[in-house]
Amino acid sequence: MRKLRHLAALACTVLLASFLVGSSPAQAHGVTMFPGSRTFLCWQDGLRENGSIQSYNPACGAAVAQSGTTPLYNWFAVLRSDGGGRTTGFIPDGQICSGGSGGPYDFTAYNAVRDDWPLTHLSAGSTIQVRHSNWAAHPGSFVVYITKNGWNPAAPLKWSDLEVLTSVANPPQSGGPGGLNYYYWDLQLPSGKSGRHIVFTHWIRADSQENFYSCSDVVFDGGNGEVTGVGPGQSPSPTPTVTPTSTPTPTPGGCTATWRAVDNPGWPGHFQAEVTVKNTGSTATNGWRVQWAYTGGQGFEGAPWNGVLTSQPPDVSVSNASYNGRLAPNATAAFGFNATGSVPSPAPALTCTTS
Amino acid sequence: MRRTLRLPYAWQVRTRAAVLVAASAAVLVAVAVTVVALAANADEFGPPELKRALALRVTQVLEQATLQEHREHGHHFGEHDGQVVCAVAPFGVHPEGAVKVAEVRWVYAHHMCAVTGARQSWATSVRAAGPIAVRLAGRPTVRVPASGGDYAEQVRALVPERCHEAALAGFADDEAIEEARRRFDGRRG
Repeated sequence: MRKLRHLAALACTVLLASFLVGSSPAQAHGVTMFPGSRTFLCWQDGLRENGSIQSYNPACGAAVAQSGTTPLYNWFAVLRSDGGGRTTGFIPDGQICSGGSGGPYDFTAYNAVRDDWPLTHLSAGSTIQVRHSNWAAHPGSFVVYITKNGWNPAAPLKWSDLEVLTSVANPPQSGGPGGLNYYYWDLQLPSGKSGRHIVFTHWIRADSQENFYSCSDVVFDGGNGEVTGVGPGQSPSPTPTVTPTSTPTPTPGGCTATWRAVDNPGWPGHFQAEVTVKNTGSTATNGWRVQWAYTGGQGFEGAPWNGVLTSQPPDVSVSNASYNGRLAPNATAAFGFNATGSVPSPAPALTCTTS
Repeated sequence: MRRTLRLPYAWQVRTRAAVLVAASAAVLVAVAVTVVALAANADEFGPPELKRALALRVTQVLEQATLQEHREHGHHFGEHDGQVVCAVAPFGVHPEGAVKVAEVRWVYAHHMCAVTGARQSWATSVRAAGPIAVRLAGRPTVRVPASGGDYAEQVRALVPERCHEAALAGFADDEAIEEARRRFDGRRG
């Protein structure tokens, strides 16, 4: 019966789309990649080199057992073609993470109340760069919510648990549609946050009724965007697997740069890295730049966050973003990126210069 | 004059009993052999060439379906997705015991389909996988497990009981995946 309803809804959508001039197909894609949504991180967690999904994370495994792998392969399609910007009264409490149950894929398993979903570690009061996939780019707004202090993580998520953090219209994109590029914008996280929270992102298209829904499990524990609960060797510790790091050496440029790379077994052929810049001079900097040379053919997957790529591999140069070039003496800033290829070992020698 | 050997009555009874016991034993042995044979062939449903032919047929059905046909059977590929490339591993047929493609009315198989439009590697381009039932007679029809309920129950409702275990297991044919990946890489360009 439900399948007939789905087919009828789809048929109506297709019919309606065919009457609209210049309409886009019903299929569009968009879910938060940082802080990672449950579906995006569970996909990273379970995806194997041959394309099969075999979850390491138990919450992801339970969701796959409940609804199969096909929804998870479509991690970017947590959507309602009839969303129309609606929230309370349309998406039931307890089904916010799946966008209710009227989408093309059944994501209701991802509403489960569990404390072992993949987790992104953040610092209260810090500024992060949110990244939201842009497989099919559309005009629209992103409304970002966070759970209120005192919410109950052991109960189904309710609309009354959420408060709006920000709303962003038509943010820039890291690259063209298709692939793993994304919309991005800076978000100042509220201070006074600690422990477990959910960041919920609602993408409201301006050119259709289609909406997307992303629940990202986060914890405010002083983290810098580390992700735990993804891939093999999961531990409750917030420290991700660390490959050999470079020792920061003082340079004439007045700053040091420290490399940390995180292997990503859930994303074949990719790793993630973070570079921390520290002002070792006696005056504030106006800007900084870090350079290194890849020798193993590594590349970038999308743009760095909290930094601007100013020279392409193999001779890489990353400069400060508009908001983190000014560092007081001893202050630090960190930028990160997704990379293609294998983690360089030993870590590349980094050169840091300030201006 | 012919003489007929006639056993004493008691001997006749014992002899008949012995014959019955021997016959029963023979039947039991035959049954046991059949059971063992069936158990050994639980994952096999016919000659290897039948499996290959059915895999090819189901692959064609999936890869040549129109977007509308995909939607009708529950695959939501879109225009941005480019071409669909699939790995297929059959694990059962109906009627049971069919040995030629022409005799097969339904194929039960694992599928794993990727889309070239993602412009990513094979693994990150997979968009659908799991057990399906494909009717070959007449216009090919694909059935995927219904969504919105207990997935395992939906899978069990889709395939015969003798195929439940195989259906709930993962995609076990690595060669089929590698072959599909080669075709995928060739088409992705």
